[in-house]
Amino acid sequence: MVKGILQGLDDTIVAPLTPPGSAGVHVIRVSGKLSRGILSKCFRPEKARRVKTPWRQYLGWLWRGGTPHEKVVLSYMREPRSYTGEDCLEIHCHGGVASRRAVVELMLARGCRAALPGEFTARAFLRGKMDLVQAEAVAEIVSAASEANRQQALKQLRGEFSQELLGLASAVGGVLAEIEARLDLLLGEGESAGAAGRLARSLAKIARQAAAMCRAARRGVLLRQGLRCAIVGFSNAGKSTLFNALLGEDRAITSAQRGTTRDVVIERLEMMGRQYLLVDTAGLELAGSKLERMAAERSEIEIERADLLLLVIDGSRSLSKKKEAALVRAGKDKTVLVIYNKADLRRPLAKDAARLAVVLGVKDKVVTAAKQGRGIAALRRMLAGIFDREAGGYSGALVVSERQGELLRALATASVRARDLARREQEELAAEELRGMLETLAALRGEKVSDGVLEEIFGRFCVGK
Amino acid sequence: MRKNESYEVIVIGAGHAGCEAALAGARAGLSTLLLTVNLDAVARVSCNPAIGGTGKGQLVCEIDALGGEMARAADACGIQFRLLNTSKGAAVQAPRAQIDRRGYAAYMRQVVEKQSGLVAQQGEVTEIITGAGRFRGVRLRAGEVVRGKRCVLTSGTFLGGMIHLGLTSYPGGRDGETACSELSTCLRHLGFELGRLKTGTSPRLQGDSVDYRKMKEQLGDLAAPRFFSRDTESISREQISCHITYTGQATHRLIKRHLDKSPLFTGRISGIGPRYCPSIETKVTRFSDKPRHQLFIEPEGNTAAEVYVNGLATSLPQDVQRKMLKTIPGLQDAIITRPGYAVEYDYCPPYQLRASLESKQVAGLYFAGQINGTSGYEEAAAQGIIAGINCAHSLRGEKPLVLGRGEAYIGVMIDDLITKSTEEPYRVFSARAEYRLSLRCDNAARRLLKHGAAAGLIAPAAARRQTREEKRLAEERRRLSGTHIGAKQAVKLGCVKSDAGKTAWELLKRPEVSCAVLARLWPKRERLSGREAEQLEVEAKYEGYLKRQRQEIERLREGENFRLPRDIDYQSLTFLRLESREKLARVKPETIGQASRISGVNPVDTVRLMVHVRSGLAGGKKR
Repeated sequence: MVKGILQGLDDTIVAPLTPPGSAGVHVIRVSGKLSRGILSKCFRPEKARRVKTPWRQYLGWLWRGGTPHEKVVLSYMREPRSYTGEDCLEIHCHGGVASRRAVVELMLARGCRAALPGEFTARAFLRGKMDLVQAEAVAEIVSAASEANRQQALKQLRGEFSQELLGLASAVGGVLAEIEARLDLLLGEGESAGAAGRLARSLAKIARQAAAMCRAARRGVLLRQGLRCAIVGFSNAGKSTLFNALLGEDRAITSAQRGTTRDVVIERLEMMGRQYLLVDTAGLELAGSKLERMAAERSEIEIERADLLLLVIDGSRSLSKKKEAALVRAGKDKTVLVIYNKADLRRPLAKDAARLAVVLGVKDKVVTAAKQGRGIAALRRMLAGIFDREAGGYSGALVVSERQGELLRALATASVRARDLARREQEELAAEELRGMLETLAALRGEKVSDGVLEEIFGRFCVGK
Repeated sequence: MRKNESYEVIVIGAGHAGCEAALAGARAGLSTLLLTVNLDAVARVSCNPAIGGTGKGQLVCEIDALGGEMARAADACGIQFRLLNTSKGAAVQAPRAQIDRRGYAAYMRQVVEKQSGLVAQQGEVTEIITGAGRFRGVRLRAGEVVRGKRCVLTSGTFLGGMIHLGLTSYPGGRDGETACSELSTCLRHLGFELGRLKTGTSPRLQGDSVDYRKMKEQLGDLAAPRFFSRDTESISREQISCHITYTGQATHRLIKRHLDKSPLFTGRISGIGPRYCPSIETKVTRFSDKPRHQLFIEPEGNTAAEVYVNGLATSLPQDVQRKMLKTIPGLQDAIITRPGYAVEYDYCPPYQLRASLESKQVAGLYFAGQINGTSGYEEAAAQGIIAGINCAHSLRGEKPLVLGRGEAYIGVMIDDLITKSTEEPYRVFSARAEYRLSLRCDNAARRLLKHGAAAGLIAPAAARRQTREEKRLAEERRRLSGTHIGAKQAVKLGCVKSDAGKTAWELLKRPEVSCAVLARLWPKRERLSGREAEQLEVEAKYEGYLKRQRQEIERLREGENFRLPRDIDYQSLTFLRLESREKLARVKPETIGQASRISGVNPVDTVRLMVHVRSGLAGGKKR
């Protein structure tokens, strides 16, 4: 027998929906065909003889072996109008660990099986209650850390992303049908005139749409994981002081001694509803000792991974040519925000700032005195602006799983290939790409999935959902 | 005829499906009886006198690779060969030939008569005799019974055939031939569901009454014609041109005025016609904005006086057909020798078949050709040879030959038939084959010859020749991949110096480089044959796509190998959607792969069914 959430649809499954430990109330869900039997045999409502109306809450007692077992609030949901699409019970019990265990054990004794992570949602999917995109959105909502992330996931739960995919699939299908008709010589003379131009335009449009979806997905990653900001600069520029100032706590050790930070320090930070990963790095200077060399290597990796570099410059000193070159090297092809720190000691040299900005092509710069907390508010506003620019605000983003992100990228590259092949009149190959795109779109919508993919998707849930 | 006469295979019907089925059976070493209502009407080309076309041409090459006859017959009787889609890539190019109508039938009859182990007899089958759910024999019109172990039914348009010409209609399987009605009743009694389809044909004209000066001549590929069979090297028949003319607004007005006399538009024909080969009435009404429709005047043969008007299929009355011709350039004075007509007939919706073409209802009874809802000679012949081969496999107790969708157009067609169960005449297209880049004429033998050899239809010498060819190709491919091109050589090939360092195989991928061009580098080396060179070039140019298709085909196989128990009670699986349940219960798919392709079966339901079967819940035998 196969192990996993797809192992058997015939079992009735049970799991608490609330996290372990003591709580105000615990909620336990039962899903499957035993639900009704359990309801009639184990539950006695206080103010009624039996549970007559589904989807209504009843206060009463769960009985076990002829004795009252636990006082609960229970509702019965009849298939298919329940979360899983099966008969379900939702039981609210006292928030103690023992109460929770008592209810679950009673259900297990009644023939239920403990649900695996994601199994309720897997059933909802298998019963046709939601498509795969919606199911993946549920996983996102559950794990959403920020408001922007939650908003996006909710939007997808409503099926907007599915709709968009459906629209693209119909456009691809239309072009494919036309190409196929040409290849099978079904078009009479005259019908193919102007068709080539029309095809090229449709294909170009499809490619643009696919690319836009890819960009939106990349923004979605930002929404979920946060904008990764690496604080980079030379020793003693005040990077760690700035790091602490942004966090509002003394997370990193700071001192006047150069090279205090030897290792990378990473902290998650939510500011103004946006998620950031703040990364403090060691100084950029040429490493001497073995330890410094290792620190420098790690800094380099962090620069590579970052979505945004916060280039911190000691504004109280002028920048040597050598140092400037090193900064330019670090900031090449990256989004950069230049921060002139230590403004309390001396006003930063205007010409240094201007030159660096020109060389790196950076528009964003800010003057701070991190130690005194001056300019930090301005920096926060600036970060929010950059975040919105990169993530496209709340609206232009798409929250996708890694699986979906990969499929979207495949879709975009295939659409470009299809466009170019059609231009070169290699229509049978363009058709091949378009067929591939339809498959990819079906996979994105969960219309074409192997059980391996399903296991992976639902395996990401925590128990109970 | 002796009463207890018995054959291993009885083939009913001697059309294109029947001939291939009977030949396959006999060549596989089975005692075979071919029964036909009229022994003078073997392998009749009853509609347009042409074989091949997109998708269909590939089918003919596949029949050839399996050891069938159609390709050789078409080559021997071809009077105009054309390779279609030459401006497109190799995978969508397809051979097509006009053929000598009488010559084709005569050729085929001779092959059938000369085939050892095969008896061709005249006789109308009125009943299929079964016992314990198995085929036992057939009863003929005069009452005799012929016993047999396997049967291939290829009834074409003859089951309950009804001919329509204007508002007149009369029973008939084809113009001038009688229909069979008892057999339809018999099939219904055996539990088969029957449906009704329609097909039409064009008028034929007296050739010397046509004015060709008003038409455009269409020549065949005279220089290097493309043949269907791998064995054909040259032909001796004289080649003839076709001619092109057009209908006009006057024609369309006339047709619209007389629609009240069309059996199609007055509701006299209930059967559904072929969407891709519509009658002129349908074309004129459906595409009313088109100013004209193209017509091909096709010669019927080297010595035939008649010509065929391809594109003018009609069932309007004869006098309207005559008036119609008066409005068409070049046909004003044409004399009709046989009017166009429509024929309506019974077919057996093919969901009732297994992938082997054996019926699910009666063991040992196979269906092939138009009875399965297909249209076209090539489609019929392809099913015929598969049914014949599977009779042989079944009698030997071997697994049936089921070609995959990634293996052959034949596989695509049969899979479409049994899972989608066509409701209109089914024609093969290249678009139906999702792996068409891999399913080409040039590699048909490489794909299928082994199956023909396994069934006994291919001589061992031919199989050895094929093995040698494949070895040679693999060697040459290895050599080209391992040969790096120098700067001077690159220039010699018409490439640029900077191409130096690339392998010969990489350069072969370019449109302008062929095997012949590469051969300039090694003038002393023995050259590949034309067919070998073609295979190598196509494979180089399509390489990335072919690789991807191989992977997909491999994945597809998993679904085909996941067998579903025959006794699943789909109606009881309440966790499946209602529509899925109904479709699955009707079709009773053999594999999860088939189930996933049934239209109306929700993909999620396929996964659920798989989960259900795998967890041991389905199938009484398992528990």
